[in-house]
Amino acid sequence: MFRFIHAADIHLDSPLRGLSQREGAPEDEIRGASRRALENLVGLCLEENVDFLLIAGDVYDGDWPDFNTGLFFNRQMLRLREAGIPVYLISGNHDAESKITKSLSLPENVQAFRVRKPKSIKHPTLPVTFHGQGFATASVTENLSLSYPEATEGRFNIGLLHCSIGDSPHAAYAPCTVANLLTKHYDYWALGHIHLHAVLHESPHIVYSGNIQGRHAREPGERGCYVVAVNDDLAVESLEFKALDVVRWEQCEVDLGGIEDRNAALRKIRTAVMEAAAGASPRLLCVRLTLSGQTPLHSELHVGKEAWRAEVVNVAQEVSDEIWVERIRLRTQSPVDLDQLAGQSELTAQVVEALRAIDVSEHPSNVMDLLGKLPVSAQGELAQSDHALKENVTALVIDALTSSATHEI
Amino acid sequence: MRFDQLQIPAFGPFTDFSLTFESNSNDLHLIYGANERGKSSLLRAIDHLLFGIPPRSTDNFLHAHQKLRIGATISESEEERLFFQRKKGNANTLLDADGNVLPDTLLKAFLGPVDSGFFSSMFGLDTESLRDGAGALIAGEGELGSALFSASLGSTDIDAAIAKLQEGADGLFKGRSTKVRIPVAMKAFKECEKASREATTKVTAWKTLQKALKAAQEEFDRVDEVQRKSQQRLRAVERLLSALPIISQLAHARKGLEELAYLPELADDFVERVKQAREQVRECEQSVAVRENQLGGLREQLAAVKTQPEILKRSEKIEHLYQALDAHLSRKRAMPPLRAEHEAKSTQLGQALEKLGLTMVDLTSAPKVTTDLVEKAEGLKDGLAEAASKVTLAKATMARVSKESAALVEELSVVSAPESSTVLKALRERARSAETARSRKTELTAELKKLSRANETLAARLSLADLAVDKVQQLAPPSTETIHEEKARLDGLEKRIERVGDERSDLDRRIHDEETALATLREQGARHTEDDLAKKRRERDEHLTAALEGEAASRKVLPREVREADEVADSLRSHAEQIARAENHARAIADLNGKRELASSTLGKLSAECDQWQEEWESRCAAIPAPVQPPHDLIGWVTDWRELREVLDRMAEVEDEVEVLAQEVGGAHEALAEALVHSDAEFGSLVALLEERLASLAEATGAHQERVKRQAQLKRESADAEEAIEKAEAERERQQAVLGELTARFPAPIDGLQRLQDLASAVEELEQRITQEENAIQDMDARLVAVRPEASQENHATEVGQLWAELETAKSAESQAKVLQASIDAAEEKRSHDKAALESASAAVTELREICGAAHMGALETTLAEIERKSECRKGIAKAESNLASMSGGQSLERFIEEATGSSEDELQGEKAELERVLPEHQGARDTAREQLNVLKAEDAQLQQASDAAAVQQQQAELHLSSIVSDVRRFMELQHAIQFLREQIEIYRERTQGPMIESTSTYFAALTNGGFAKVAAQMTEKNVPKLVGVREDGSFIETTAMSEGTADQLYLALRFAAIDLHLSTYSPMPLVLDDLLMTFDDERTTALLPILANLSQKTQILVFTHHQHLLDLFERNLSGQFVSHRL
Repeated sequence: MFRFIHAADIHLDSPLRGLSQREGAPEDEIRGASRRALENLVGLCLEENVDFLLIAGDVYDGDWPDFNTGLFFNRQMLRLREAGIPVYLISGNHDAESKITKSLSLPENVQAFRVRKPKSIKHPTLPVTFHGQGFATASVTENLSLSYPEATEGRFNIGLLHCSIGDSPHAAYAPCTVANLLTKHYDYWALGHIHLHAVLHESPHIVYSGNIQGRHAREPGERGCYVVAVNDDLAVESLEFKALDVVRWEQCEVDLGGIEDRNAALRKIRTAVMEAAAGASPRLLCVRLTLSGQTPLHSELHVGKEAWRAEVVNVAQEVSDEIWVERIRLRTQSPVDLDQLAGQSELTAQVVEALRAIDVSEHPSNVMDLLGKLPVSAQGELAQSDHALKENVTALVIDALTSSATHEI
Repeated sequence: MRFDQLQIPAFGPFTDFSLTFESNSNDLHLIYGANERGKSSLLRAIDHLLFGIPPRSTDNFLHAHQKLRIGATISESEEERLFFQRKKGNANTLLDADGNVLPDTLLKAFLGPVDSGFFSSMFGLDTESLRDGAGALIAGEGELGSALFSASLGSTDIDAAIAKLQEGADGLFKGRSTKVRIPVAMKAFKECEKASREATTKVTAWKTLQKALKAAQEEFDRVDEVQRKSQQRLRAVERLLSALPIISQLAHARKGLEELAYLPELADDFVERVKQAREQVRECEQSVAVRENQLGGLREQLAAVKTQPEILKRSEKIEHLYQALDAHLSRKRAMPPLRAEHEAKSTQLGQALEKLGLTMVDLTSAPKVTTDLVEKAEGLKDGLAEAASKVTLAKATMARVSKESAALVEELSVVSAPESSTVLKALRERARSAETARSRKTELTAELKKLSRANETLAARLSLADLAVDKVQQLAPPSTETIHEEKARLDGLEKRIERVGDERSDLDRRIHDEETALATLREQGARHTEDDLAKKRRERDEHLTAALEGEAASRKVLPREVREADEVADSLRSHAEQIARAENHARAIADLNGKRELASSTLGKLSAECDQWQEEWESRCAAIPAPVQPPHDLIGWVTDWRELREVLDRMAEVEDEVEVLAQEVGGAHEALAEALVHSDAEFGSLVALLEERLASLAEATGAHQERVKRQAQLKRESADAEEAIEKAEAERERQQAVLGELTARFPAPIDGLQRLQDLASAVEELEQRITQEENAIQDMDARLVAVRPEASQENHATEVGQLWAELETAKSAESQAKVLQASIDAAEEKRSHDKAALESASAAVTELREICGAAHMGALETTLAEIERKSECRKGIAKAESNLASMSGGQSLERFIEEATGSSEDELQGEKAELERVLPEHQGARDTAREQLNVLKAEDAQLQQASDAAAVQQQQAELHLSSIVSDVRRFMELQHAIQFLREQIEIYRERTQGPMIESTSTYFAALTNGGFAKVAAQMTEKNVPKLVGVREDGSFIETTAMSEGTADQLYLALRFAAIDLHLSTYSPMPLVLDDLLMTFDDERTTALLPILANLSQKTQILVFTHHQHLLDLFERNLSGQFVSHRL
């Protein structure tokens, strides 16, 4: 009978995080990734010729001040207006207090729900009623769903809500439960806020569409929206996820257990990267590699980190120019037997013993000096567990010990 | 190792020189010799003896290089002694007493790890080498230098690793450097942030722009209106001015039209139509005349053309003759060669038949000889030839074999078979086994020596040197598990005692604190308690009762009792707070005292438990013939004892094995001597003799066997040749039979017959072809005659050519006549058409004349001129009205003419000048407003593009931020690793520098008679340690600030400490001091002598001097503890 698209968490013009500057990196590919993803969303609406588009919050990203971002959003909405496709949206925690939201006049085909209390809007021609309420502030902690109106008899009822359901790594805004939502007897809950797409319930459907573009390595896999078809009985007939992202994030774990040879390790990494690249094609792939397993290369990996990174980047580029190695996490283990190492000299015995209880909770003074000079945003990123720091420092120390093992002091 | 005796047959100034060093408890020898007595030569001789005479030795002034010999007897113990001599040379310079070469390993076993350099720097000391060596030690060089300063000299591999880590860290961040990675990335990050901010369009900026845009639009609209109106008025005035002459022209045209009103009203194009009709009449007349002329010419041309219909009728046959002409001529030319070939082949066939004695009938009746048949016959002939060749070859082989066999039989008849080598081979196996046993025995003997030394070392360490081997092995110390258990038990007890002791100390401290607080409160007035008050009141009441009963004493004290009770009550009231707190403290003290008693009691019990454990432990250790040691120390003792036991077991095993091996070697030696009948020869010589015999025996056996083998091979070759002859003969007969059968049915040899048959076929084919060609030629001649009966067959080609030319001419004339006739027909049709048109045009002119009212054709021209003038007037009116209408600006024509004629031209000119003056001003204002509006519109349009510049810069900043985070993370790791390693090295340095420093301190204090208490390692500002002398009062003096004598004492102390350290690990090595004490005064020397005496109990010391007073000092201070030698 009719079809619509459910999307959310566009975070327009928010940068991709965690990618380090380096020679030859495909920087052009990542510029404006969120804009390209939004263009893809609009393009999909036109291609599928849907009847309307739902956006369940967070069009913009926090306090981003550039009005150009809002104008770009409007231009995309105008494309939909020309095709006669209406848009229904709510504000989320990220764009609730955005100056852009408050100042931008939306095209007439876009209807934004008010933020003080829920509202119901009837589709002008289809038997569809939309219920929604936007975020008035960045931190809404009450359960908004409770005050949503009851379903309208004989119509397809859609609830738009930006909220947290269950345990989530995201902040618990407008927390609610599936049971809460079911009590409203809506036919479709179009949810936003959680960036991983998921169907929480079917008939009635409770769906997170996820964000349309992953922003960092902790948001791996395909990102996009749901195309929903509703039949003459006003029941969801099909629900299909469509990828919209232009840059794909993936995390690959490569087990180097038992591998002794540098080239063999690189071959294994190459295989893993190829597999990841195959899934992301034709997009740019940003991949985080985690190297694990007990290997004699453990020490070399930690000590020659930069050289290894360069080699891995080369390997990735051999696979495809459309790959950016975001980070290489070392979770390998050393095959060096510390007890055996301790037996090599009195000094190594002492160092090995002390190493077991090494304390990295207090940084050396020159590290503190440096930390004081860093941008605030970098300091937030640097929060690293003592355990990881300890692991890396231990590897460096063991390498120092093994490289001096022939020297009896 | 020590020198028992030096024997120098020939070296430097020495000839058969000898010096014996008796061994006693002090192995100290003073070798005195005046200058030029060979003291320095003797020192060199000792070095060369141990490590070789250098190639360019200058000690050949008395004995030639090849005769130089230095000898010595050295010993490690009573059992291990070696006499050897050293000669000059590159290799094999070590000799025994008889001059036989000794392996270098024999001497090496005594020297251990000491090489020439190490000996001269450590054990061969003069003042210079002492100072140099000390310098190296203080600089931390060498193993001992490292031991002195441990690991902190910046020369260890860990220091190198730290430097590498530091290098990595410095590449990321280094102080204020702006060129390393992190500052560079931070700068780039800030620049991108700034660029992002600059590219950002704020909401306020957008709103401001929209407001300005609206205002600019309104201003533009206003000034545009003013300018537009002025412009309109100017244009209106200009139109009015322009209209005035046109209005005048209009009036004139209207007047002309009225004058020609009598003419009929005709269309505007009437005159033009009359002209066209008259022109058409003229054109039609000309056209008719042209057609007449054309027709006359065409008819004349047609009459001149001659056609030939007869020739055209035969055109098809002529064309066929012409097309076949080339083939016909070619065929005629080919006939003579064909006939000649036929004749030649016929003659050849007749001759061939005659040669074979055959007729054509025989030939035609014989069967056809096929190519397959001929090839098969050829194959059979080849087979026959091959079989014959094989027979010849096999017969030649038979002859060669027979000859060689006869020669071999003769050789074998004169040579006898050699004897068997089995016994000698068995003997060789036994000899080889014995050699292996000898080698193994040598290895085991060396191992036995090592084990013996280990045994002595361990036994001495365990204080079990005097205990028999079986007793050592039967010792039963507590097991390791028991010791660990006991250790844990003792540790537990000690920890508990320590903990309870700590608790009691803590209680003591708390009691003291409480008592102090109580005392303070008492001083502050809290001297009484409620009990005190009750007691005082009770006493008061008792005295009051007694006083009331008349007791005088009570009456006397009653006032004081009353006062005191009141004072206590008052005190309680005024110091209520202090008293309450004092009571709390008092209660706490009582409580703590109780706890302290409990702790003391526990401590007593634990001490008793500890005593009891000690008794039990001593009882457990009673079985060990060593002082009772705590569990911790006993673990080491037991480990050493187990090692000793293993050493003893291994020694027993090795000794047994050595004995078995010796028997095996002896037995083999005897067996060899007996078998080879050389009872006096050594084992090695016997083995060589045995190998020689076995070799000659093998040679003889080999030659005989070779001949026998060759004889057998010749027999096989002879048999093979006979067989080959038989096979070849049989094959030849078989192929001969097949060939005969194959050729029997032919009247002649098949190859000749086949050639004849081929020739006959060729002749027949030629005959057929000649017949065909002749028929074709005759056919073509007949066709030519059919077309042209008078034609000659000999000139066939010419005739056909003439026919063809005639046909071409006839065709051309026919075509030309047809074209001319068609042209005449067309011209006649066009002439008829032109005449009709002329009639029609003339009628039209007549009709037009009548319409315009001209009486006849002569008046037509005048009438037409008047009609044209009337038309001009009408056009002038229309044009003027049209121009005025276009100028009127929408007004009616009459209204516009009225407005134009309503104002004077001068007035209009004045208004126009005024408008032209103000209009540029209005235009300027409009342009300015428009420009401002356009600028704002451009800004708005730019904004509407929704630039992503700010977002792109933000993304770029994010890239730099990630680089910063990654690099800082790495920097943190590197700095933590560097800090950790530095701390560990410092801890290690402090912990391990002890033994070397301690030993040096002891020697230095003794050498300086207590002038310095010790030495110490101090760190410089660059984290480099340096050695200093420390006095009793703690002050220190650096080596550079010491006097030469004191510095030498320090260096000597360092060297003694180093030697001590060496001797703790390796075998003794003689210490040679060469006039070392020349910077020492008597006091310093006297201080040194007891140290030398003490050290000489550990290793041999040879002191060289040419100072008599040193000899005196030795005799005065070390009488009986040294031996003097004079050169």
